[in-house]
Amino acid sequence: MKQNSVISWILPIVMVALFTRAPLAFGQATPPPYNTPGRNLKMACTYCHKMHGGDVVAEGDTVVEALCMSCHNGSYTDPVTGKTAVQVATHENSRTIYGTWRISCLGCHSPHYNAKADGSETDSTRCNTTTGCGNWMMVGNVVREASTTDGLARIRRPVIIDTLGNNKSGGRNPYTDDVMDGYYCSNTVTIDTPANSGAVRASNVVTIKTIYSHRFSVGQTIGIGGIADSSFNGKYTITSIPTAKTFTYSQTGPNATSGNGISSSGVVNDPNCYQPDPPNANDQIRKVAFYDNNTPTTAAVNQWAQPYIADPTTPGQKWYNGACNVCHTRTTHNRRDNSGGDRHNTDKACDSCHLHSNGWIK
Amino acid sequence: MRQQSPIELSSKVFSRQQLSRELCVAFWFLLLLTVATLGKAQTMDSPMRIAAGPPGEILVSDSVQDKVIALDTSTLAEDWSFDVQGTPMAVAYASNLVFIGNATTHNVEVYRLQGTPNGPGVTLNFVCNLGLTAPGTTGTIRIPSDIDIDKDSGLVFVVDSGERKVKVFDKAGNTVSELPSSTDGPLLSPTAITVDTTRQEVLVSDYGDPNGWFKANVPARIMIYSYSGTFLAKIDGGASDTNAQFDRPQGLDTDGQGHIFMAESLKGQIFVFDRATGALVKKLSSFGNQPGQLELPLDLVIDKKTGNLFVTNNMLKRIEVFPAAGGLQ
Repeated sequence: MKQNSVISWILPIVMVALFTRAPLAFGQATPPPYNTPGRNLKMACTYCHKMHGGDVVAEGDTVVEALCMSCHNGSYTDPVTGKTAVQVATHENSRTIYGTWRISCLGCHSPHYNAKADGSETDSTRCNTTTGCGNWMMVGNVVREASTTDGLARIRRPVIIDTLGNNKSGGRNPYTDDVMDGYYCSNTVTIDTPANSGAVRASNVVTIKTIYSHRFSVGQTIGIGGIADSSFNGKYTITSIPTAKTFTYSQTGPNATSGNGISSSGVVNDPNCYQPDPPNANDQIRKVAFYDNNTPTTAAVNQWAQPYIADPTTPGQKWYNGACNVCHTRTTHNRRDNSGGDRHNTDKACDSCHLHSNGWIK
Repeated sequence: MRQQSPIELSSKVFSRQQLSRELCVAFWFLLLLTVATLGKAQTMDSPMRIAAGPPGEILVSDSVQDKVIALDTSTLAEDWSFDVQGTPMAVAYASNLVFIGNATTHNVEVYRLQGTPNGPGVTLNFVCNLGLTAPGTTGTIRIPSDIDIDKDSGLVFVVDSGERKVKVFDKAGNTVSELPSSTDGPLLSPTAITVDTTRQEVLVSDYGDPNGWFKANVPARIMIYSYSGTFLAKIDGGASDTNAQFDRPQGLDTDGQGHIFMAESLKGQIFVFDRATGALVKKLSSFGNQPGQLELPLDLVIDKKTGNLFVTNNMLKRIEVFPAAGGLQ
């Protein structure tokens, strides 16, 4: 009797929970704006994930991008609410000296937490316990670093996808660990094998053949290391670039053919590169996160800035700036703190000109 | 093989003649893919819809560059482009008229192509908006997501994904009707369209309502209607055959031989269905960024003369080409 009695009150609760798909019944709730009271967007977990190893599984940055963009390409309207998913484009570069990269959606957004564009929705579980989050752009990649004592949040470095497919691991750019600095300032590329004449010295001119596009330039000092014939190794200045995968430099010596090894531009030898801070390949936390909008300081590129913004509607304080500045306080141009070259409109929000719909480019 | 290429090299034993033929086909396949990859990929930022253009050309809408770009079908080199005042989504062509679905103005704008295609000096001169809304005014098509045209009847079919309808116009711009014509087979989240002029059918990709929060779970599907809007059939993305399941159907086309080609934007594959049975016939390509692979394919078109299949490979900013209707022959 007692057992029947327990079942009689547990069963209805379980049934109701299943029927209403209460978040607690299935773990983490679907995030805003995908499940926001009042807005009526009700996306179930199964819209992105399938149980038991189905196909729509959000794993891998490019897959997640495809998942996001399969709705955010402008053609999707929610069947229940009639709201059309905003058309956006990822921030990327495909045609300049800075290589071919793309910032993953996950670099700025978390599919499991996403605030309203005006910053009025925040996630108290991820914000600063002392200062709170206030109204600021919230991205899921913000973390608190236990080892620090300033009590401020950090934003993780965005995942950069090599759109040329030159990646060496897991679909990520080989230079992800150093993101913007490393990508075009600390370029490293593998030299072809001896069998493929990866390194050839003839008439005191060495021709290096690389596996992938090397992206070096004439006049650049590069380091050569690991070549089977060690007489090739050392630091040299590039004299010509016959193709995207070959370059030459002068070196006195007997004619020879070898290969293997790597060639690297290296940040130390290139004055145009900004010194990484710190150059730690394992550091996934970018130490320059936000320009301090509350107490601005000059040339504060290395400071841990306040991550929250007092008034997100005021130009210069919108949360887009924070996202942009994750990289654009470190690049050699367009720094929000008014340092570096090409500075412009330092008192305006980036998104007043650069739109997500156009990949933040124009 | 990392990708499921249109030319499947299986473990079967080839005769010398067969092998020679296969290698020949493979050569042209790789050549086409190379052309597709190298072509003018650098000129596109977000290739979205694609349509057959004037002879020897395909038209591509770029929703980031705000352009419609005409590409040579043989070389994929850019012949000409047109700056759209707003965000172009859909694009179509018939009888020297270019139809552009403009998400900013909520119109389908009709332009007359002047000059010689395949060469410089092409201009597009505004003719009218479908529905005959005044130039420069906001139209009545909330999200003109895709367009297809029956060149024989002159009917223009426009998916309004915002209103979840197909709106039908004549080439003069007059409103004719809306699909579906009854409550049978309602569209829930339509994205793309094609018309099968042979069967006089309208096919619409629909994401469905896989959440099913307020009603029964409705998987993604391809909805099929008569020209008059009568619901005829659907191809269900939630089929019991897991291999045939799909989630984010986008661009469609038919090959005139009873096959429906559908771009599965999330899986990076082209699904080929048999219209008569609804069964999956074949899947082409795979998700990835290598030549022949797809990341977010949003539309496709079959060159009816050559059978070549052109796909907008959105995230990779290029057009992918699969020769001979994707290898069905």
